[in-house]
Amino acid sequence: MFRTLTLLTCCALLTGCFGPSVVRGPGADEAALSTKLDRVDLEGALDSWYQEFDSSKFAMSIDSADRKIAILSIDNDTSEHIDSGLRNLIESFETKLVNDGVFAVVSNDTLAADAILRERKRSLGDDVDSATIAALGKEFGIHYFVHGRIGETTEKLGDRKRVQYYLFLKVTEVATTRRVFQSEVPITKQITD
Amino acid sequence: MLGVLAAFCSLTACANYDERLAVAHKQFYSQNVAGAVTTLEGLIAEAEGDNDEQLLRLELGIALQAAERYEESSAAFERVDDSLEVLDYTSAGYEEVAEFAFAPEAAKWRASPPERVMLNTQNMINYLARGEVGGAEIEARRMRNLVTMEDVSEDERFANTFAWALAGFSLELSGDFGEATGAQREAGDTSLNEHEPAAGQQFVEGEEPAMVVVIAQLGQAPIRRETQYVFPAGSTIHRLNVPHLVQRAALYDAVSVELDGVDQGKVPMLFDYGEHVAQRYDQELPTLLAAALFQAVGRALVAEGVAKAARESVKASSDSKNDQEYAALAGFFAGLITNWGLSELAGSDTRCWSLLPNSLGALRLNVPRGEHSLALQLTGRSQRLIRRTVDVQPGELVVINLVGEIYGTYAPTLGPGELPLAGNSAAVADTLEIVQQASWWAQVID
Repeated sequence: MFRTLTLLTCCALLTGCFGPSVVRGPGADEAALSTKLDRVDLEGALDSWYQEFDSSKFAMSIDSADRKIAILSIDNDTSEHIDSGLRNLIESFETKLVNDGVFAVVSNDTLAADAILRERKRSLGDDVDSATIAALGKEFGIHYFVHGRIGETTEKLGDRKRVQYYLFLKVTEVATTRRVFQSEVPITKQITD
Repeated sequence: MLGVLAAFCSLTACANYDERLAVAHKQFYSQNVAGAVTTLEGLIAEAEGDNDEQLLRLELGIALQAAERYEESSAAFERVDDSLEVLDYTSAGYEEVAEFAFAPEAAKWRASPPERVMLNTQNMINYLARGEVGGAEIEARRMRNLVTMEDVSEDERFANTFAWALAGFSLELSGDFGEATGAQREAGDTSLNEHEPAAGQQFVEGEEPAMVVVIAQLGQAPIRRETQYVFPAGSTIHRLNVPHLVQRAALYDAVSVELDGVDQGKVPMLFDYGEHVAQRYDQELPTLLAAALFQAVGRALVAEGVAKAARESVKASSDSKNDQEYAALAGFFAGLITNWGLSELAGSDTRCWSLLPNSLGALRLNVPRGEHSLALQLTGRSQRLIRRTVDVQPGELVVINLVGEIYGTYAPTLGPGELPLAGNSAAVADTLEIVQQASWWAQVID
């Protein structure tokens, strides 16, 4: 009884003294609130992938800014609802490619607006079939496309949950269906109660 | 003394979860799902940050799904998913159970393992009903990770056949054939694996067939109600509060399907959630009783102390024989009032996910493109015919989610109330008999 009354009094005092706290700015971005991918994770992954891509033999060999590239999709093979995060990643990636000026970028939105291609993308597995590749070349004049997937390994021990993500991004040449660049970016998130 | 007891009683006057949910419960089970949604939203606004908030959000998720507001239902479930804690009474220690099962006013609600699995299962239904296969695929993985990573026994891991069948179906639709095969293997041979055309239907050559999936959610899941066991020990009567599982009668127990006038048989019921929960309750009971006794010892000590003080106080004021008898009586009632007042404070936790169905099943019908009419006949204690028309494109998935009990009239669930020792399950009676006769109990309260 005494404990209950003390508890109620303390709760009443505490709720009266403290309201919700709001944090603004870069400091607020640093804290990880869940095992889902947040902006810091995606920016880190993108920077890491792009550095590797930019210094690759393939990127160095591109001598004309007329070469068209598109980011097709990143398949979510995880147990987290991160599709909106992946859409952001595609757009950030496009922004980097546009600003870099090495390629002419065909927007993912343009591809998404094409009903037939959208239907093809819906049934894509880890690989892109030859009919889709042909359509990318013929209908959109695309020379290269980026296609990827994100997978995970989840482990739980007591109150601790760790999710290890693996982001794989591959660049394919449309004319030859040859994979010209591929890399993997690991991201780890952990939550402890 | 009386003042203290009055304060105890005033504290217990706060509405418990059953009372809190009563209006929404009645609305949901009497064809007013929209009303139930509004009531639950109001309750959640009041409950923000309190111990019942997560449970209320799960109830809201079910009501929104029954109202075919699938996206909002997903949002309600996903808001809870990452932070929902689980407590398994069958494997937890009695001290931990005592902390959570017998202090509902102070403890945050924790889901039982079957309730936790139902969260992802219900959300898979939401995504499939919206045609968002990618979301259903993720919920399937979450369900699989949950039961394979948590400390879940082998028997129970694959008990929810409906969840595994739906997971296999979702993973197959999203093109993850390896993962789908694993889930389908756990579910066994179900209608969701069927690829042949439905009876009376013919596929168009070169065209991908469409799918109509009828999901049947029938009956009302069992709920918990407090049972009070009363028995004499020491110089007064003691009371033990134990959460008791109450089965609720179902209006409908089967769904027969006709497609374009051709009988497709009954929807196979894949998982009897009510039966599964009842089996678990039998395993939980020894721990629950041990925890109830653990808590009751403290109350008994205080009650006996009060009884003794009351006896001595009356004895000290007179030496007459009549007054001696009066002293014994005063001690008995003082002990009784104290014990029962404290029992009221230490009610058992009867919170559980109340709007869940009792059983779940699914029937897959592969059809060619075009318009198809469906007649869904609910049968059981009541009868109801529901007609739907669907217009499907090649490869399209249409889910008809039938929550049977929302098509009925409300019948209140009566709690077991205050029961005598006789007439209860043998396990409960035997355990309490042992308790009454145990010398340690008498020694402790003497």
